[in-house]
Amino acid sequence: MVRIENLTFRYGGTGFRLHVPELALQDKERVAIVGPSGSGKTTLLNLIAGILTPATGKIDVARTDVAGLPDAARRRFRASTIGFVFQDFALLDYLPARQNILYPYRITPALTLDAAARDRAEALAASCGIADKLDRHPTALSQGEQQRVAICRALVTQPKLILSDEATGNLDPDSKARILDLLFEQASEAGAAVLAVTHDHELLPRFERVLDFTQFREAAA
Amino acid sequence: MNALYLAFAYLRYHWARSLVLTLVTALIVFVPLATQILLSTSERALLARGDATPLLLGSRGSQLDLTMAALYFSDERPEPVPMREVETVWDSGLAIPIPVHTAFSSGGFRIVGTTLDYFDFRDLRLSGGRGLSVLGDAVIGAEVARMLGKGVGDTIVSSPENLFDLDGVYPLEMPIVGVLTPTNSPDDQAIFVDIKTAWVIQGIGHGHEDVVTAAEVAAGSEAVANAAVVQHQRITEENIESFHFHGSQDDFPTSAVIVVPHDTRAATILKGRYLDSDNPSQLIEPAGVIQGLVDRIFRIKSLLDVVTTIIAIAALAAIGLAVFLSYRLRAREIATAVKLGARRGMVLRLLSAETFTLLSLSAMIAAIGAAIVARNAENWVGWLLALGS
Repeated sequence: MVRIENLTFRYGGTGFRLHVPELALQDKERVAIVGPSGSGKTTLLNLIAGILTPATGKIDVARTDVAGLPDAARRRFRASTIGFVFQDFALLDYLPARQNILYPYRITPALTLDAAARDRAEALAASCGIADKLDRHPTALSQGEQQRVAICRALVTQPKLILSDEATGNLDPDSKARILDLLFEQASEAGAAVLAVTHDHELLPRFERVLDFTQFREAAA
Repeated sequence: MNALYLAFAYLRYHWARSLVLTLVTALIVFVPLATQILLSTSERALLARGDATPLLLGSRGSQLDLTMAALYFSDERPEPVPMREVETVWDSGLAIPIPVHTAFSSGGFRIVGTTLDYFDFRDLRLSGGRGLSVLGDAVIGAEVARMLGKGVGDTIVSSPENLFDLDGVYPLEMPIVGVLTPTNSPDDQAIFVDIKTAWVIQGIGHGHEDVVTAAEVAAGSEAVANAAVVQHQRITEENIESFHFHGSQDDFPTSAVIVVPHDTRAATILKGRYLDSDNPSQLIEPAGVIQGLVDRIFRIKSLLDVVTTIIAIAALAAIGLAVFLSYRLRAREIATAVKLGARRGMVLRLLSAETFTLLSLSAMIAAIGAAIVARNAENWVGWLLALGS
């Protein structure tokens, strides 16, 4: 699903440098990335998603050279191929849960909001246990419920890859495991691979593979 | 459509902020528009009244006071001109003189003593009742009828000129015999009586055994006059014959005389006769006086325009700041949209849709307000011009 070769990246003026000689993620694989803050975990997710472009190296996602795509194509690719789950949920307060789930369809022409998409949103919400809360705004939902909405939003477009950035970081210990299991379950049903950044070592046994990111951070010159 | 959907959802969720922004923007657009409409209508109404009154005869003094009193029945009280001036114009054979006596009022509306020529001159039509025919009759303007809730068959009483004038004349009760159709002019706010009736109110003419007491009113019966409790005098079929005037009518006063010359030549000859500054009377062209007033108003308006512009710029800057801060608050949403693959320009499109929606709503409110002002401008301007009269 993801193949990275000889990737280098640096933020101008900060001295931050990232070097990933090789990294691979198989289809439907569940991989956790661990490492200290500032080691570049989120940066790697952004590089894979095409939000950032590498200085050198190659990033293939679903057999597409993401870095080689022009900006518009990269955005379309991201919208249709990748689902994002964030630590802070990143839900829009002015939209009810249903419309938050369907939000990706509102912001890109790469996705078409049709009856099938709406049905999928309903089905995902039902399987995540929030079917009766779809008309509520995020402020009327608990944190666990908000993250379930965020998971539905990441999966509703039927992506091949889920990028999870500290998705359970804001949840209580009981909810963490439930939400992660839910994410895996839904990703498995959708046939999507999961690449998750986490600081929570208790959750690591649930992943098929764990990647320590410290090795990829280069000291500043 | 998606951008509009999201914009509308955002504005609806933050309805209080949206409402304030919409109303403030609408006000910024509406106020100059409404001012312009009202001023244009005022200018037209003022000039139309002036243009429709060829010449005005009155005592020498302020031409503006004379014009305002005779055309707009305002509070100005120009020195009265004797009725002999009316006769002089008649005798010249050059014009038709129409006296206008505007010294008294009733219920806040000016009582205009005049002759039947005035109704023909102003092309005033009756919506009900009949015209003036008997001493004491009153024909009221449409706005008077509406505001006082009176019509044909009711009565009105002239206001006492001075409550402390113990030797003064009694107010006169007058039957309303006709109501005029609306004209959106000061005539709507006037109570028309024959000029002789105005003289009765003034005390120049009077009858005998014609007073009505409070006790009589309460008992509903006739009584002999008792000056200590007199309420008002009334002209009836029984006492009308007793009404008479003391002195020569030539000396009786009128506030002004509208002079309608037969042609331009007649107007020129008449104007020449009143050029002498020693003549206690003057003959003026109201249109010129009104034009001067309008020019003065519009000089003030240009100052108002500058003030309005400065306030509008300040208000727009405040709105711009509010919108900018609102966008800053949404930085996280924008970042999320980018991560989820929002197309280039989507954020700009979304923010533009919100701004467009806000401005559209504001423009709609301002347009509705302007349409209401435009629809009622003539009525409101008529009312404004009559204020203080």
